[in-house]
Amino acid sequence: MTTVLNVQQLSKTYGSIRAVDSLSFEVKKGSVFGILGPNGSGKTTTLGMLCSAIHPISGNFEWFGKTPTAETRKNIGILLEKPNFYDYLSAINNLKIVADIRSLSYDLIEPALKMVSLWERRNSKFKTYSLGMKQRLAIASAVMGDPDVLILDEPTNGLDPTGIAEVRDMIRSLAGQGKTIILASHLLDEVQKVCTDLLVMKRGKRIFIGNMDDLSHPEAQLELMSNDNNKMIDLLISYPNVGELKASGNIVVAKLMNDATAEDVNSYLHQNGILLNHLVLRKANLESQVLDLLKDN
Amino acid sequence: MDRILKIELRKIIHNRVFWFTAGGYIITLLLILFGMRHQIIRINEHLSEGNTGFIPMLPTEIYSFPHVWHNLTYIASYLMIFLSIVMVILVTNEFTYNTMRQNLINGLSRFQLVLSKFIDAVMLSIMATLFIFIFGLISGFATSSSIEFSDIFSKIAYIGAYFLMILGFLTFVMMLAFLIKKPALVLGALLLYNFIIEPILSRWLDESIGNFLPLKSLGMLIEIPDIALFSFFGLKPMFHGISPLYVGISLFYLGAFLGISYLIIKRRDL
Repeated sequence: MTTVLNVQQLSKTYGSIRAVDSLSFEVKKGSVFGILGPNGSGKTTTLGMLCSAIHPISGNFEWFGKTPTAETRKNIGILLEKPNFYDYLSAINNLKIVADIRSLSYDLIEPALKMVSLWERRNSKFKTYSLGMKQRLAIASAVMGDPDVLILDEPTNGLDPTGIAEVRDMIRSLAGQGKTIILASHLLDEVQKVCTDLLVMKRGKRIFIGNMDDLSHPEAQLELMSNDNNKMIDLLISYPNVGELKASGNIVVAKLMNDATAEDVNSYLHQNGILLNHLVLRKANLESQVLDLLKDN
Repeated sequence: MDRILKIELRKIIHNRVFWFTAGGYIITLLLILFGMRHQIIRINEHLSEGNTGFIPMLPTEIYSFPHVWHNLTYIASYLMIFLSIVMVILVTNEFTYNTMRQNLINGLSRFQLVLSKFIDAVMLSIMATLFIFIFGLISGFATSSSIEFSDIFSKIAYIGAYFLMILGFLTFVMMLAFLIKKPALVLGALLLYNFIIEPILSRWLDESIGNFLPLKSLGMLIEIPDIALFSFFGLKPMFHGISPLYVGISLFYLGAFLGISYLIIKRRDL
């Protein structure tokens, strides 16, 4: 797979704050690359640098294997932070300006506006739009002209549930067409539903990067309770297929290791004279894993 | 280039502030120009009552060829504030709406961002100059008693000087707007510099240096016309004609304002 974007040791400081701290990652062609992090974790600053709007203090990045120029950006549909349009111009005039900048035909405006259901309101001034309509216009502007790469920063911001579902379907359908999508969000749910790869950021630092499967291939935990918890704990400590143990009340929580199953643990304990009265297999979901990631660092 | 021109025209044509201010500029200018002629005629009527010949009559026809070009452009230069307001709005809008950043990420280079605003300055200057030129032609034909072709355009260079003066001034305004970003603050800084800082500096410095301060140099392109009317108001005419020195200096400043504007935008995070 070819690399669309390669980021090396990118850093940005604002005064004493390290907004982005030696960030490195790669985005492969055709992936839906999620950047997840709480507000203020440096997502937008990172994207701002990748769009050449913000100057990094150090580090570098390459788009399509080349140092980017203004021409590079014409091939990337970008929605950064919030919709930015001329207040006093209609949707159609705003998109004509975008088309002129990106050397696109005006014929592309109609399908773009229809896609986000704004065609009826094409002649209304931007300032009369609701937040959700503004966001949809920004999405229309980003996807107009069918760019190979899309950068979407909190694309469902301000949208109602229907709008959110539409945007997610759109992202999936674009991904299905082989587009590369970089999606920043503080909403785990959003990232989880559409992304193939994930970068988790906290205070400007990368704290996780990997395939979505790595994360959603969850760690299994067992909840156990028995007629003799103390003996059970001793047995579990010496059992190689069980890792870390935690007690919560009368329940012992054990991390399963080496692809062991609940049956394995049950039969081991049974052979050693322990009778379980509670056995539950719990798989940590992505949310708790990411929360763990964010907590740990 | 033509794309940028098209983009800027679209922004200007739909901008209400532009139409209001342009209208204000034209109406104010017409009022001054017509009013002035009317006043001269009235003053002359007063003077002619019991005139013993000591007091010269004021020239009524300040709008005749070829002096019309000098007189008109000089009067119009007092109204540059209208053009400045439009210029300030056109530049600071890009910051207010965050479109400076949006246009950059959509694919304009930082140089093109500055160029697009300089194109605004050029367009405004062309419009203002064209208006003065047309008004000059009309009033020239209407008030000149005998029209010779050579007379009509013999002082037409003032139209060129007017264009350079406005363009230089608007490029200065553009630089301030790039620097300060907030429309009210830009206008405040402009007035402060134009009416307080530079006059104080030019008093404080020797005149030979003070005359070369940026806005003063631009103003020196069109000096006070040598007609009695202006002496009447206490303004003293100095030299005649357009000084090539000041044309050169103005071009230098124009380039400097443009260069500084580019440096500001090049270095800034948008």
